[in-house]
Amino acid sequence: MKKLIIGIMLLVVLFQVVYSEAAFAEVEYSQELFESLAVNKNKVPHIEIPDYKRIELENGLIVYLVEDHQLPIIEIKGYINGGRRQETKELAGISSFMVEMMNTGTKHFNEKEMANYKDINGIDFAFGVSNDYLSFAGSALSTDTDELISLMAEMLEEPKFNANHFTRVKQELYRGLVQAKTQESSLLDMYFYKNIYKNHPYSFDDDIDLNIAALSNITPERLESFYDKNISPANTIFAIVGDLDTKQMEQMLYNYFNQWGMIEEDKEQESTENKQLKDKESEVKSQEEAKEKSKYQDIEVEIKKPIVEIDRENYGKIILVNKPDATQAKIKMGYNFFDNSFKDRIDFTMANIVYGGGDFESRLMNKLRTEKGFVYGIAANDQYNELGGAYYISTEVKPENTYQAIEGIKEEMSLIKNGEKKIKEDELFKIINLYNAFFPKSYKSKLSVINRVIRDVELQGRDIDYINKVIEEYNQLSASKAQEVFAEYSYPQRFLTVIVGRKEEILPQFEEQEVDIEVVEIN
Amino acid sequence: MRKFFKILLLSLLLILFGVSSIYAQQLNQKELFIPKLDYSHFKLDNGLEIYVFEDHKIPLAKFSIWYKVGSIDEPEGISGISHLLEHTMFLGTESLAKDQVHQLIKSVGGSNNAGTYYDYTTYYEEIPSAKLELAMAIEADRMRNLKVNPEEFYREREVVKQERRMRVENNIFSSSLEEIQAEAFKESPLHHQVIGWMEDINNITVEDIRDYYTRYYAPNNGVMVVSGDVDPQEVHTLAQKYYGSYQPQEIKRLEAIEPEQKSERIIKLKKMTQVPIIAMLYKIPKGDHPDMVAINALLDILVNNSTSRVKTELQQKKRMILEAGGFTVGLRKPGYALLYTVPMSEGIVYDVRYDFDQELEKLIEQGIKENELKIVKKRVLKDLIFSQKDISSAADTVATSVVRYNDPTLYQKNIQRLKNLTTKDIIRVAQKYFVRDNRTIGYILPKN
Repeated sequence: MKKLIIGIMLLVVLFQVVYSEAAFAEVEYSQELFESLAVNKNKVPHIEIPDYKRIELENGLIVYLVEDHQLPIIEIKGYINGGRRQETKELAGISSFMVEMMNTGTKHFNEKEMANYKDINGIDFAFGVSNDYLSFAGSALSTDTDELISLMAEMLEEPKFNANHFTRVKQELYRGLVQAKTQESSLLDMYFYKNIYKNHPYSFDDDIDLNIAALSNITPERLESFYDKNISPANTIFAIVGDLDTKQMEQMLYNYFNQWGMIEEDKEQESTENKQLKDKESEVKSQEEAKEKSKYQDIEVEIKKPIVEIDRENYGKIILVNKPDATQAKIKMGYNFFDNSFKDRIDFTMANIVYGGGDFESRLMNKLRTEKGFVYGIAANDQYNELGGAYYISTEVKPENTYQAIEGIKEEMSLIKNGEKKIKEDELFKIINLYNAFFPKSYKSKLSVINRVIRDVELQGRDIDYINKVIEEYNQLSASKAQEVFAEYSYPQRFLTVIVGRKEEILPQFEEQEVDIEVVEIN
Repeated sequence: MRKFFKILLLSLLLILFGVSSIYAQQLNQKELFIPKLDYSHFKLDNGLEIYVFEDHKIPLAKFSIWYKVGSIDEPEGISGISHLLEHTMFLGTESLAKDQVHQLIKSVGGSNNAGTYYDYTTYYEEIPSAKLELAMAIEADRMRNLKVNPEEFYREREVVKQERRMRVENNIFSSSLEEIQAEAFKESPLHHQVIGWMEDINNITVEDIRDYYTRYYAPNNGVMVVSGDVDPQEVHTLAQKYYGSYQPQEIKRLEAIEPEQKSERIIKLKKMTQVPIIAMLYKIPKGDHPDMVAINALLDILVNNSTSRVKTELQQKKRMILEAGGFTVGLRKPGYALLYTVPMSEGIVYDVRYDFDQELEKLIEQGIKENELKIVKKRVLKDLIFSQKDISSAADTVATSVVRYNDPTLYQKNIQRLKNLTTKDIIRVAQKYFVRDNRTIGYILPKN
């Protein structure tokens, strides 16, 4: 019996020793270990479209409602079709001025009152400007839902452009523009986009000189007129997501928005009636039906479609903006590119990530950072708009490396284009694998999914499930197809190159190579 | 178009990287709840702390290792070494080739990066949760087995020098802050920025890097934080497997104490700018000091909120300034609060500074309205609830508290402090810290 106990004890001790050794044994690191741990192919994700209710009010306003009760919060994301492309040269920058005024006061709230209302109720709400639409976003705790929705309605429907702070806002915008001429990023974008988009409204926002000149033309009356012509319930759409009750929210929206755009006498009549929502079938009307309603003013907005004219004079052109205090050269090089309807967009985007996606593994990062130590970061971007886009590469280098960096960027593009360094299956696999892992993260919240849905469906006229079609399409992409589209749509000879930096350090490099370069001196 | 101000704000956000502001609780609200922040905690025998935050919504995990070392640990002459070491950590180990960390992580469909701040350095991998062990193995390997190839090291040093040009030298505000901070902190390593002086970066050698690495990269000087679709027990088992055999070591830190400032310091900086900027730096205590909640509330009431005293009076009423704001840098050592404003023109710079001071004095003498305090509490409450949309940001908040103060419950303490905060507390900290003798002013003025 004693022997048995000793035997058991020995076994226990032995087991503990072995177990302890296993737990604390030094891991032997090797290529084999890491390679064995790195085998992985992610599942092709599917993005679930959350349950939503789409409401269209009689005035054409479209709202998507999504309930999400995980946190006691409410979030709004919205768009007003049109944007910067509605501007004229004489009034360049008017969209930004208009939203600045809309963000800071209304007919019933002066600047101080609005700031106080937002702060007291913990509300964030603001408009922004893009090339093809105005956008807005808001948030609050769900206990302040009514305050948020009523403020949004007030800001959308009742702006005041002749407010006391008009002159101050104008002065602030002017000082901001003047200051922008001392900033390397602003200078870079100004000379890049005003050459790429020439006189098209897409160039206006970055053209500091044009904005300064146009600022004097902007008056409260012109802001009002621009607002009247461009902001209407018929071209506005937004989503409300969060801790809400759909039925109650519908009622609230009806109360706050149904009179937007209504003729005054109809408003008065409507106000005397019971505002309760009518039968669901009658309340949700098609846009066509809404348009026919005579009680609304002329709420249709004419969306302009000016053509982007491509200037071939830009091909191969180099502009050096002299900034005497710069200790680096900031570079942006690119050319005109496709609009939103580009048929090979998804394939090209994936192929472009191999070339210059911005991560550590891209061809450009490998060449210019990992091999040469020239750059901290470098990225190639494809940027699309409704009427035309741009493709560009941006980076910063030590001034004496400017010429070599630019040549390196072109060389890497050419190596893919001419097939000397074709896009490989494993390079593409890594990107597709990464996208498959991170797509669900990008669309983790219901707000992000529904935001995508309203952009796809309402702004771009795509299917509701377009996001899943994107996933399907990039998963079907082969390296040979990626190679083919990159080769077809990359143009190293077309680069317009803008450099902001010290002329004394940069110019000689180009002169030595007998390369023509236009030097711009900033006033 | 407010490009410049957006850039200025962006600069400030970059400066604030790592500084969190979660400290609030439900305060007299209508049926509002704050979801509890839940996590598991383990500690290995060698001192490595492990925090796990579960979130099973999507099959992703974020693995991070935080080292208690940053630029405030750097001696004179090798400023920027913490950050340069962070870059060097990607150049390979005895088993891994240069940049193979990126390749491995990307091969599984993950992403990775690292960051250095005044008082910590962090490395992270965001990976499909099934690949947690890969991240664990990579970080364990480079905690102990870094290989520094001189040729690669000197090439990477050039990358860091370019990063300095990009982040600091060619940004008016960042380059000015570097000089203002150097004037304010004469003896402590807050004298320099995280990225270090260019001359020092140039002088850092392979030997310096090896010594620094050996000195600070140890399990008992690190904190592991894992969030996402993970099982805490599995994290513990893997941590034991990969880190369990590592021995703890004594961490000897630089002891540099900043002497008490006796009088106001002023510097004028001539920059290529059209608008002047006034930056006022006040020294404040360590980030876990009970006064920090009141200090942050003071900044909101004085200068940050849309309804703040300075914005209402100097921007909206008197039209003297274009912008104003303030933030705190709370660290494991005494840090600073920076208040800034952008006067409309150079000609009124000193009037603006005077009027700014007057607003602070009025606040002290005439008191704070209950409404102003209510706004602060509301804002913090909202931020706290919204921050819970993303578990990894909540995890980072706990991580910074542990790395800095060895206190994962700091955010809870701060919720309580905020709940108890009174207008008198705010006035008290204004009188204690926001005095001229504790201030360094930088006037950033147009060169021409």
